[in-house]
Amino acid sequence: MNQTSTLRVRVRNIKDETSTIKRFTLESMDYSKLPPYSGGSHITTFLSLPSGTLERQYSLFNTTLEPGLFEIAVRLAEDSTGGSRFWHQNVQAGDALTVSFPKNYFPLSFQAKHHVFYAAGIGITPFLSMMAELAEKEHSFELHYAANSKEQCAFYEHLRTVYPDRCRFYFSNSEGTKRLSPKLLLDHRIGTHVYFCGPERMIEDFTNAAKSYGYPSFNIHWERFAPPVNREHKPFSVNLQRSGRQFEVPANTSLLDVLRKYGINVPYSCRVGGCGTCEVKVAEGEVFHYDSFLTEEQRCSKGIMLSCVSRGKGKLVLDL
Amino acid sequence: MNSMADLRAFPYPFGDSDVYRYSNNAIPLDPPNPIELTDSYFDEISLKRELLTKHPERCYHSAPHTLDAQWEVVDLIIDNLVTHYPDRFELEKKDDEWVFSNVQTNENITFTFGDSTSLKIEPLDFIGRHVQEDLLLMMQRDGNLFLDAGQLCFPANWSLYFDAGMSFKEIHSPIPGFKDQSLDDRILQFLMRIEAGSPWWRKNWSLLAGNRLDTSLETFADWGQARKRVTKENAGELVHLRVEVQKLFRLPKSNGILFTIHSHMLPLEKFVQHPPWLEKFYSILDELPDFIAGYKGISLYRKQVLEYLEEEMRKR
Amino acid sequence: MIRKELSFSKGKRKFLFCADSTEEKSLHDFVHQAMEEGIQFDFHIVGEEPDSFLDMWFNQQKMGSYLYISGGWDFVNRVKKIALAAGFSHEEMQMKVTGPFKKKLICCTCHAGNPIEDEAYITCRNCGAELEASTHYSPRLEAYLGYVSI
Repeated sequence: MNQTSTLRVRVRNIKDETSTIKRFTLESMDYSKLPPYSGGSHITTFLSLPSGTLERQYSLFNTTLEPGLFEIAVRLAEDSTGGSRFWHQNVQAGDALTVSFPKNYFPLSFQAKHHVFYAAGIGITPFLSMMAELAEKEHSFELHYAANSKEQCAFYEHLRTVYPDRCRFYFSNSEGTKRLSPKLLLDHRIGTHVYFCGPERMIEDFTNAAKSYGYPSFNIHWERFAPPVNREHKPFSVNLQRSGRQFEVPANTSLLDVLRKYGINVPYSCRVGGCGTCEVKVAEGEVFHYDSFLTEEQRCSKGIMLSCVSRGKGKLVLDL
Repeated sequence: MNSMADLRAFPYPFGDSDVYRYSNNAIPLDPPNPIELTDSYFDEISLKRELLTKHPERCYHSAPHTLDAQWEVVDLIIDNLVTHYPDRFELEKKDDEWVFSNVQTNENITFTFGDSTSLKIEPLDFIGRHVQEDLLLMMQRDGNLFLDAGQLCFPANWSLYFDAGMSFKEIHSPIPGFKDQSLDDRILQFLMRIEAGSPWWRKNWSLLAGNRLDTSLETFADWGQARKRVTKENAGELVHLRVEVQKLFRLPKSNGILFTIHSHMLPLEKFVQHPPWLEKFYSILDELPDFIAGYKGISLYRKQVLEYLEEEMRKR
Repeated sequence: MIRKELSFSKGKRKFLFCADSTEEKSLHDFVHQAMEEGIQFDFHIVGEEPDSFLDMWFNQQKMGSYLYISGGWDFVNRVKKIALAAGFSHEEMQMKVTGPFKKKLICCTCHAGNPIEDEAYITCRNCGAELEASTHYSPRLEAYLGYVSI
């Protein structure tokens, strides 16, 4: 994420999928093909606002018949911190934008005999590329998709047309239709991998249900939308637990540089938060993780940080 | 080529420390070129082609599900070749009909991109015959990386035939100390987080008694004998520093990872011409723990090489 | 994973117990526990049944099923392959082998497979090289690597 390799794209087309969801079709600035990507991939978009650059992640798909285009769907969030509002209100067809190369942290299982996707609301987006890939490879899959109503169900017509026998829809505010229930998980054949994407609560309910039915964790996949990262480079102080030494890390200097300056030989390699070599153990304090290496679990454990890019909040105690 | 030019072209493998340990020493690759042509291009691709013809079972392997990824490799490498070496490679594209020309070998190959029946050999095998690098394809499957295809002519004492299909950690399990501090887990995590558009590279080194590039495990009984012949007197000529430049690319469509490995070799007598390199190398070799020296195949003749280096240092 | 001792797997909806005729007893404790906990199970002692029988049995199972295989080396490996093909993963099965393991050592020089038991060194039956057995294991070849020394 810290590497500067990006793509310049132009907005070719904007379509209202629902009253709150817009679909943006992006093409390469020089009319060449944009890179291909695997099912479940996303891009980071870099939006230039007067207040700075906003980084936002969106699942990637292409519902057009033309290869080499990127599409994303953006729902206008009520509590938008600027990203979705900007997309909805400021971005126009013909605008030029900077986006990342496709990346995939939500890949399809290779050994699955059958794939089942559970989507709620805008959570449908990663599944669009996954289903396209499976359909092309003639693999077995099905989709269970919940929305408030048919009108609020993004890509409803597309899905019904392209995968007529593989989609089931659940509309919560219309009568006579079933609600999307984790009990559906009881009926999948051996060798099924399940994928959940939607609100936090939905992911939690389905994951817990699958585990309680005896699904191995190996067969359960989900994607949360990453919270926006606003990089702040403020000074902070570090205490070294073992030696008792104390240093200040100025706003424009990395923790790694400060440690090395004072003779603490932290090994390092890439200096951009990608290789994991400069990891240090954290004993106390809050960390802003700006690396692209640590997993969510490792970050939550609060025990480690990469000293080349990540920073402390106020005061940090390191196990050094 | 004179020896100063050799020295300048040689990828010096050591960092600023006087000790060497296994670590993830990867850094971002800029410019992002997977391939490098050196003066020995013609000799090395001829040797590769000969080995591939005579010993296909040890030099090439692929699982059927790697074909899409293999085409991505063809695309990536050809694009790089015609961009960086336009006087040596040409490409004509008409939709999916491609004509690739290697000017130096005077070959023109016509094929339909993405259609494996349009080539006589598999895509990875085809493109690998035009570059000096060994090409390994690791596929990311079910949260792990597997060596699912490769064209490997210049292995540093390992077997593609045996290791094919294994996971990253299984392949590296014979390396003593590689699991310490979960280094294997950390490097795997690093590899799985490599992103398209942001390739990486690293260097790896070992010593070789002799100057063969094709040091396969299959022929170890053959080339390994030279280890016993190293003396203080012949070390400068016989022993070579062997450096692998390894480059890592995420393939966005198949989500696989391409490793290109370019093996460079230089006899110690040339390497030591640059005094700072001589001193650094002496310190590292002198301090090197036995388990690393053993794995790098140096144990049998480390003493002789150190004696040789000491004498060279006295001369300066 | 092939284990020395099987253990009872918690939190499953259904068990499949599968043994050859000599090893059915090794599963009795688990059958008993499944009954006590009210968990559904199938129990098959496999005799002359063809692969297609096992294939159909495994393919009918739902997620949450868990498989135990107990028997001789060849039996366990045969059933394991059919189960994997039907969609069971290694996370959804346990295996126990009674009697000798049939291990294979691949000659690093000529790639020939050599049957071994616990020897540290053998002579390759194809090329005659002295091979040192290692723990380097290839799942694809289902074999260990034999190194030559100089």
